[in-house]
Amino acid sequence: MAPPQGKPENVLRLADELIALDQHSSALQSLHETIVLKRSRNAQGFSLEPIMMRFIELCVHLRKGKIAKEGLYTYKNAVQNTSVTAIENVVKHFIELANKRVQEAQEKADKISVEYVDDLEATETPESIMMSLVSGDLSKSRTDRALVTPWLKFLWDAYRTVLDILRNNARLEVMYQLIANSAFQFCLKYQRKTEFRRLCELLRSHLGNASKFSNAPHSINLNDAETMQRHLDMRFSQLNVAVELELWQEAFRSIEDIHSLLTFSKRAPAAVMLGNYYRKLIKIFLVCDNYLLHAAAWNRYFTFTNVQKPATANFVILSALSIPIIDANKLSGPSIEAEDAKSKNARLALLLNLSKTPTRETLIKDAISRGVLSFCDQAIRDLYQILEVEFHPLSICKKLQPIIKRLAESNDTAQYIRPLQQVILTRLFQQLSQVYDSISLKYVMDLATFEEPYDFNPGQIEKFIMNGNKKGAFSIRLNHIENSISFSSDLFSNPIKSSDSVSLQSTPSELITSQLTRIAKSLSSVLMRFDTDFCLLRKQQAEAAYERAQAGVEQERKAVIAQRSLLELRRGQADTLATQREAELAAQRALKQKQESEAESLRVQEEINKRNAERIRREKEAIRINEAKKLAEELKAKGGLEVNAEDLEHLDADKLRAMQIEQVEKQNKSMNERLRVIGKRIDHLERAYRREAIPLWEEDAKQQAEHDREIFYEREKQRKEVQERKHEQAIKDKKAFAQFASYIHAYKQNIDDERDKAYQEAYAKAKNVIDAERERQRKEIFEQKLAEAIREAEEEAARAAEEEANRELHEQEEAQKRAIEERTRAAREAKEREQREMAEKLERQRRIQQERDEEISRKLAEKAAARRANIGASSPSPGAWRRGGASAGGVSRDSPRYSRGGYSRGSVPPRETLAPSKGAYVPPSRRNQQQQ
Amino acid sequence: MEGSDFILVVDSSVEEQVEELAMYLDNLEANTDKNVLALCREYLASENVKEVLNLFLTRLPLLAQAPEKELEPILAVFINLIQESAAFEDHVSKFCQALEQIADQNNNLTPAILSVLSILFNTAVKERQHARLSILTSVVTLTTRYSLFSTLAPNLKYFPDWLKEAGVSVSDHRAFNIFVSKAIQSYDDEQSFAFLLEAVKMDNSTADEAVRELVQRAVNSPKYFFFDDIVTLPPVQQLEQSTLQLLGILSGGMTDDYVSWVAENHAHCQHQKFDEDAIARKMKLLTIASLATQAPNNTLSYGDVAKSLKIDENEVELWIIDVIRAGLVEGRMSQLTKTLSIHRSSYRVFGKHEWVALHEKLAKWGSSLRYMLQVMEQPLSSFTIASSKKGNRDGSAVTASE
Repeated sequence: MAPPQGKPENVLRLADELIALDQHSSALQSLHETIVLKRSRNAQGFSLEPIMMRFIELCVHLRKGKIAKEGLYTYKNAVQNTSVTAIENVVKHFIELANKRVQEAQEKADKISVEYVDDLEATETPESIMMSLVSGDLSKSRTDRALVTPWLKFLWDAYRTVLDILRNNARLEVMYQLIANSAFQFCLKYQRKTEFRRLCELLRSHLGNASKFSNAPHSINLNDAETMQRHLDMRFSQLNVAVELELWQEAFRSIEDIHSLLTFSKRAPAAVMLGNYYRKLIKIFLVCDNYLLHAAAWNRYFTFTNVQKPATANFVILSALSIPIIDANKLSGPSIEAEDAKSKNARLALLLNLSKTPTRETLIKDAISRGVLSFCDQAIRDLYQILEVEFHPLSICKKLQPIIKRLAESNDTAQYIRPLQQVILTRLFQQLSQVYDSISLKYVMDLATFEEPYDFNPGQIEKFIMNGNKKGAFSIRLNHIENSISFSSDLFSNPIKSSDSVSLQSTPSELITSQLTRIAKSLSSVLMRFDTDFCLLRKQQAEAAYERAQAGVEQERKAVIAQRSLLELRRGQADTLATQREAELAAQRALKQKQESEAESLRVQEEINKRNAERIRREKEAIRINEAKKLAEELKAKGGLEVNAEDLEHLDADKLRAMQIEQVEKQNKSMNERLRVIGKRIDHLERAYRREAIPLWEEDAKQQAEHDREIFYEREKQRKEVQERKHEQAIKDKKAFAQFASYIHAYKQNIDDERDKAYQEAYAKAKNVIDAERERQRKEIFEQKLAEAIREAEEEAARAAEEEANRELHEQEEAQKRAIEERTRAAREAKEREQREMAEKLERQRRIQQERDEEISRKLAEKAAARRANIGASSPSPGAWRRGGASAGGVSRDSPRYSRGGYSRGSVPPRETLAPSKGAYVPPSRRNQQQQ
Repeated sequence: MEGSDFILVVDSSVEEQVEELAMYLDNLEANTDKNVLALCREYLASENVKEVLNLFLTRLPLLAQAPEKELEPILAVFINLIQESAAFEDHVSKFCQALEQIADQNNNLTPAILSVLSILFNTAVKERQHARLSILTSVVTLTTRYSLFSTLAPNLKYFPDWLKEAGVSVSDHRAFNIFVSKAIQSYDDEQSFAFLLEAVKMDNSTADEAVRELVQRAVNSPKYFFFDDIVTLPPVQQLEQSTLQLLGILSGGMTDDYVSWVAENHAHCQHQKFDEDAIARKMKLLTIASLATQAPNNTLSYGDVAKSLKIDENEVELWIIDVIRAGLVEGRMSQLTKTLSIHRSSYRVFGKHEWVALHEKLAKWGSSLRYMLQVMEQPLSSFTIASSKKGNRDGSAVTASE
């Protein structure tokens, strides 16, 4: 049943009654509901605070951390705007109650060590539960331990919850710091290292959020002096606890946090705080084995405190002397890692506000120059003297042994003995290498003797030497055969850089580079010592120079003044001239510029005009080219005009058209000319051919007649042969048939014989049978006759067919002959016509030639007549008649031949019937057809 | 001002400067009389500048309470006034004494006082240069008394020239050198010895305490090894015969000689404050140096050293290191062969024998160089292995010459 909602007093009274009845859970639930529901009403803090107090008590009693957290959050949101004290009271009460319960639990389990539990947030494992069940003897211990650990966990959760509630709120800042410090003490008291790390992370996160959400209401202003101081105080408490818990990494992070805050803050921090800062850094760097920055921290601390204390001065010098000379980074190999170490040291040096990374040399030199040594103990001063000033390799370890014993008496100084020994050994080998080429290994081991527990065995010393060689600090070789150590004496090796050690004499490599310098110095000192005249001469020269300078100083001063005046005058003149020249040049330049500008203007105008003209011309050209291309394509498609594509750029329509016309005319002209020439040539050739062919034609006619005759004869011969073969075949058939007939007769005879017998037998039996036999015989005879008739008919038909075939063949031959005759006649007529035409041409030419000859002879006759006229004779006339007669005779010979030939052919018509093709001329193209 | 070759920037008259200084002195709390201004006015009325300066000199120690930043300006006013003095040198001397009194009362003002002395030194030019002696005396006194020797050290080398220009007499210069030698002995023993030596050289007739101190310091000093400069000095020659014998042994003798001499002169050593152990150690080092110069092939064995020094062989290395530290010998030891490879050694006496040896070495060196030149003049194509070997030999010869 829900409790009745009403006034807070009623809710509180109800809770008290439930508590009295030992029903804490119900009471807690009632109060929790009241707190949560009251949020919307925005109740006053004073009215809720008693309820919250009771609520917290119940949460602690029942160990309900989460419910407490929820309630506290709700309460804070409801109340933070009105009353901050209420939150603080409730929170403080919460922590106090939790602490009290932890103490009560611990009192119960006072004999049990709580350190067995490493992580409070880890619950018990099944194995531990089984162990608690199995081990009867430990049942009480387990029970007691179970009492303490949960309360520790609860307290830790309480701290976390409260810090989370109080964070990033300016009003709750003081309480936040108090709770944080209380949490630190909790971690320190109960040695909760894991929780301490988480606590540091939590605080760091809160600070980051404070910077991030600086615009939120009630946010922390880190620029405020008191706020910054408060945060620094918190961080220093954190640092102190980290150091006491020996969580060095966390301590280092705290240092970085402090450094960030100090950098962020513009004000100088408090002196006590800064001193604490340096002291913690001193400790952290020592734990990290960073002796360099450890010494630097001591140096800063000494400078900062300005308190001249022997103790501090001792540590400043002691830590500086303990910095390893050989690089202590054992993992160093290539320069990359060395560079990383350097940058890391530079970053760490920033924590000490050092502008640059310190070195062993700078730290020692700085301390000595500021007189720190005067405040040190005698032992520290002796240590410095032996390590850094004196050169005693054979006794350095022996001398330092009492000092080491003295340092071992105090825990603060004993921690420097081991690094100091490394420095001592380094100095030993550095100094030995200056005065020894080779040395016995046993001797070295004796030199490097220390009392227990700080003694070295030979292996360690040998390892030290090898390490020094690797780092480049030494150049030592060990020879185990001779049990000796050799130091490098190469003249041209790079000198080992050990500028911080005492140098007794130069090394061989240094000597080789300063040989000439040493000789020059020696000779100069000898000259100064023994040649007094030389010294006097130099002194006299110096004095003379001084006297000359002194005597001439006034004159020189005047000369300088005069020269200066002259220089000034000349400079003025030069300036004047330069000014004039400059003016002239300026004028010329202006004029030239004007002219150039005018010329430029003109040029620009011309350029523009030219460009426009060019543009117009280009456009026209493009148009013309396009038209030309189109026309060319058109003409090409139509007339087949061949135009070279490359020439199109230079053509236009008119030219193309003219070209076309020209080309066409040219083609026509050339074709006509060619035709004329060909015609002329053909005419001449044809005439020559025909003149030459005339005898050949006659000869060919004869051959053709003979050929025709031969063909006829062969054809006749073949016909006869065919006929003979047919005849023979017929005879053979007859013979064959004759044989068959005989067979038929024989067969028939046999049948007749048999039938006769049967007839007679049958006649004797009956007349019908005889009649039948007689009828049958008559039928047989009929059939026989019929067969003969058929045979004859067949023979007749065959004969008739043969005759018909012959007749048809003959008719075909006749038809062919007639066709041939027709073709021959047509050819002959065509030939005659052609001959006639040719004769006419020849006649015409002959007549022209005759007329020309007559003209010539007439002229000749006239001349001769004129010449004979002088003489008076008539003999040329007969000559003229004679020549004319000869010409006529030639023509006559030709004409009669053709006529006679025609007549001769016309006079033999009867041969056609006998040999149709004998006298006919068949062109060679048709002869094959005829033969076929 | 007439007759001055320097310039002090002042923008007031003498009377105004006097009034300024007097008023400043009267305003000091330590001044109980507060009558400086009145007295100055009285003296100025009678144009008695000397009395004014004397009055100021008696009152200047009051400035020990003045702020440091005001001390230098106010004393600069006095420096300007003192230029008017007819007895410049005397007033400068008294002024220096007054400054020393101020430093005694407030040693924090010493740097400022040194600055004032520097200004005063630079104003003493030409006929007034003699006053520089007093100024330098005060400078040395103050710097050595109040641990400011580092500011004085760079200027020590100019002292002879300055005093010479100042026209200081030989006796005064000698006395000054002795004074400086004593004053700076605790800071720079070497420089102190140099000043003492110069002082002894200035007077050839007197064999006083300075000469004895010079010999005693030279003999006892662990760093002084060459006695030619001292033995040949006329004043040293006037000392006792025993001392001269010791100096002779130190110049060219051996350890045995010294042992013999000590056996006969114990009383003399005690009287002259000679440190027998220090001298014995020095003799051993010098003996090793002599052995090194005579060592064949530049190699000295431990046995020879032990025999000469009458010590065990296991102590030889310690002595060799000390010899190297002293700068007499340069070389490296080889413990396996028990030898010292000598790179450089020092001759204690350079006489005829040494000159002959030097001549031979130089002649050998010259011939080696000439041969090397011949080899280098040959064409490269004719360079042969034999030439290479000869070159190596020349290199060895050169090394030996070195």
